[in-house]
Amino acid sequence: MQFIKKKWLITPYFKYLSIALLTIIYLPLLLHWYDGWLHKTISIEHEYFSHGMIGLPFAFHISWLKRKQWHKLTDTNNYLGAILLVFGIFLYLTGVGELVNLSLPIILTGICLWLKGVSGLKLQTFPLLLLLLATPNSLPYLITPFTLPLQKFIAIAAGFILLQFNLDVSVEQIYIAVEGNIVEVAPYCAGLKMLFTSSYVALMLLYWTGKIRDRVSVILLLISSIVISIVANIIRNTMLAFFHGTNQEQLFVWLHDSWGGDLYSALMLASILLTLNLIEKFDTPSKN
Amino acid sequence: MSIFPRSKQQSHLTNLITQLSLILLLLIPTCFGAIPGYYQGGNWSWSVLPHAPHLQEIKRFKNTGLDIPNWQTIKPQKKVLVAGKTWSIQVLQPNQNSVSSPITLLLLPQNHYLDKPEVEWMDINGLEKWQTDSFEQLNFAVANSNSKTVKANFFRAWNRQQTFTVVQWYAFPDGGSYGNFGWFWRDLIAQLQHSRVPWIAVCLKIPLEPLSTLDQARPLAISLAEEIQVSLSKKMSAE
Repeated sequence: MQFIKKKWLITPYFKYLSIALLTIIYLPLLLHWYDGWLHKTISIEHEYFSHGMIGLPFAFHISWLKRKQWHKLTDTNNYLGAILLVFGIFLYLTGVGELVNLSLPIILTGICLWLKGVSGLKLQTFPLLLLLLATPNSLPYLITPFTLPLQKFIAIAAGFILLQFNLDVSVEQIYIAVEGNIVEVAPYCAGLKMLFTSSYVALMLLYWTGKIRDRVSVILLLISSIVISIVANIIRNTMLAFFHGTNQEQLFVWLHDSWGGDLYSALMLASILLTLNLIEKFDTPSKN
Repeated sequence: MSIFPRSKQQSHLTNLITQLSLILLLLIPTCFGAIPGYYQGGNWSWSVLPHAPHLQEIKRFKNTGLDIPNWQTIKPQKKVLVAGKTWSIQVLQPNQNSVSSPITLLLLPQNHYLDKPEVEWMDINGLEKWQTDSFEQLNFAVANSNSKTVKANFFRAWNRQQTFTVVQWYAFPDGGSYGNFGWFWRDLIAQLQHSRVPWIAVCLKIPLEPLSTLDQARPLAISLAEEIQVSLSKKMSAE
């Protein structure tokens, strides 16, 4: 009994200690991620996960709001948690960037399972998902050879739109020639980054509005955000080919490399927000 | 939820052990990964990629092309810009039998330690603007070993003037692969040993009689591709 009483004195400090250790281990890594997102210094693939800039604080915020529910959960071990924890630590110790990145969501999932069992994991599912989808990895690099059909589709669609403006347009594979000036729809122009970002933002909005529990709304908004980002990207490539073909290089550079691109992304995200409002509007009367 | 083992309500003692084991486990990456990095002024191994070995020698191919035993370069080697990257282009003929039509060899050596194999074959398509068919995988060995560690792409291509068989692959010191995944996993394993895998993109154009099949070009394609891979392997793993 004496021992158990003593235990009650030390365990509250254990959680602060584990949070402190996690901070010591992962704060430099998170700063490194943010530095790469803000200054675009790491790689194109890393920038595919720049939605983490808002996603990670949001995930942390949700987790923080759930701290009371977390404490109310009964303490149970799940050995899968221990396995994940050891595996994550192994990945971290390799020191290889790719694997160190992946170790963060794996270790946190392991901790949830190890301390609170399956109910702990269920409670933290959404923040862990936000973290996992924002963890930089090489998936965007590995799929570049497979985006060709999408690139061809964008080239054909953009060519078709430009034809409506009575321009001299020809499309060959992934090359759009407007008035003899050729623009290539490169793999990194296939719009996968915007597709990632818009689905991620859609997911956050669904959670924010509480619609995440409604399966129909989730499917509707995710599908619409995919459609929106593909359509938006076709329009973007059409405009780029138009600017290039009509020798308006300043406008081309503005949209391709300057704040025109950011404005474009913002408009796209705003249209996702609008779609969510529409879904809510049509959803409410049907329930009455 | 059946994939998870059943969780059990735990006693105070197991709770203590659980928490303590978490602390002890987290102390391992703290002491052996994080703190040494802080101590070296923020120099963690994950923050920088190691450099590929022999990158300087490999870059030189751009200017010199490749010498292949029993083959001679019949026109001066040239540099050609394809989608913003500098390739080496050279025309080859066998030393003994000069009747066969000359073969074109295109090489793109890795130029910077952060460069990865990307969509070089798409870039070549954009350069050649050819029609293609009869795709298959061509397997061959790096050196005297029996295991066929190079998996190249082998296909027929034609334009208005000529028909070719084409062999394309990324050459590494110990093998080769047509896809970028073949490089990716080799490079990841090399990173575990604080090294990298350098690469050279190879595209071989062998003239073919119009409407003839790949089978007729296969023996020559394999023997020449092997020679090239062996020469490149030597250069990439030279001491």
